Amino acid sequence: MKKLLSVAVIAALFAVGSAFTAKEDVLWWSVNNPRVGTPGIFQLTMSQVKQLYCPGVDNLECAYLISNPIQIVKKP
Amino acid sequence: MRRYLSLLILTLLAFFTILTVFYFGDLPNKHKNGFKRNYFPAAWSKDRHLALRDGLSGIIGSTRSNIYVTTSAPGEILEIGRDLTSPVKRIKLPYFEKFYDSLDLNSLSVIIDSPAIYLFAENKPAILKTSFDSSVFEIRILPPGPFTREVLAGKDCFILRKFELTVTDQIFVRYNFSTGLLKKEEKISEIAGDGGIISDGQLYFDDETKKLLYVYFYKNLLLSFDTSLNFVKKFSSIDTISSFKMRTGVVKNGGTRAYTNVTPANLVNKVNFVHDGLLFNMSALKADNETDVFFYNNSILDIIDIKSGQYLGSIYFPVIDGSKLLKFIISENRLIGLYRNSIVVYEMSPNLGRKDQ
Repeated sequence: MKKLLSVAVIAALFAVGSAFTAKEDVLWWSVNNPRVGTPGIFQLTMSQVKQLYCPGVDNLECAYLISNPIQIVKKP
Repeated sequence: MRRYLSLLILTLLAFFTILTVFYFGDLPNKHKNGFKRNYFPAAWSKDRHLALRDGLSGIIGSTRSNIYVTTSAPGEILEIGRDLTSPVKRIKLPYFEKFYDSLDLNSLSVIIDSPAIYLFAENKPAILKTSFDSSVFEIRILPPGPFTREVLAGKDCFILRKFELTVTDQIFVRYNFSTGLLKKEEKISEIAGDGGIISDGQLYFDDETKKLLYVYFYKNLLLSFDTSLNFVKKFSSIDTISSFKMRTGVVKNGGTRAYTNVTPANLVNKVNFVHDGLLFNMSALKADNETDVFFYNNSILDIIDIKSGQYLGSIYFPVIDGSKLLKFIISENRLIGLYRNSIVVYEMSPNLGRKDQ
């Protein structure tokens, strides 16, 4: 029982740790991808920007981070 | 029963809405585009074809004997003999991983000017010069503000399209790799204040005319200027999209004022290349004298003289495995075309694009 409890505690610690490391900042992005949907300014994480607005390989500018320092994202 | 009926009505409504959007919507090539093409006869004679397992994405350099191609694997490039018969060599780009992140936020572009390799960490912003054996390592940190397009326009001379905070847009700058001097253009770029998204395009340096050419993606505008960043000429590609389909609007987020496009844009000038005073441009628009079948089964390149701005004619290449040209370069009378999983070399007619044809 003690062993099981300690395994559970370790697993919980790992879960909390990975949740914190996987946490991404939500920021204001100006996004553009006519094939996906309405362009505009949205609060998104970087992963959302990449997955929702920047798929494909045509090298177009698809988003830019409005806050400082400005970052511009291009499709591969 | 009533629930099923409402569900059916809802489905039908959705279906008719989609049909209405399709019928009345301004979809590319649904209506006549207001221009016609004429074609050069016998534009190319023979082709050589090399099929690869890799997903190919770009041509980043060429020498007299080799071409360098990027693949879907970040940091890996292929060295391919121009004859397409010698074995393909895989090269891992030195220092690539140091600047690359899996989300590609620090957009990393590469130009090979053999024996030099330039890595452009566009968002840092920085330029790194290295070599195939990684014996060279020179890095330059540029003033703040990312850049998105870069071209080598002479020894140690780069022309970049770089973010300028004062106008919230991108402008052209000249950067000297040896001295670190950066010069900004005046009155070349059209300013929309949207971070440079609607005026996104492709930048080229033409060795023949020693001029730069910027081809807009979303309208038919072409800008020509010299390496001293003096404006030379403004002209248009063959199609008739002279204004942006996108609209720029002002959006307020709390106290932050930001500019954005509020309607989607259509890509007009899709893939292009500049060589020997000529622009070869693959437009996304169908001419009025082309059938749908012909347009969708061929990569059609319009040839424009960049000294006069005159349209000279068009050439076309059949799709390969359902793919149009993704990228291409032209050198020594050969067009080297990149498709999804293959490379094709076409022998071009030597007089192609000359006015006396």
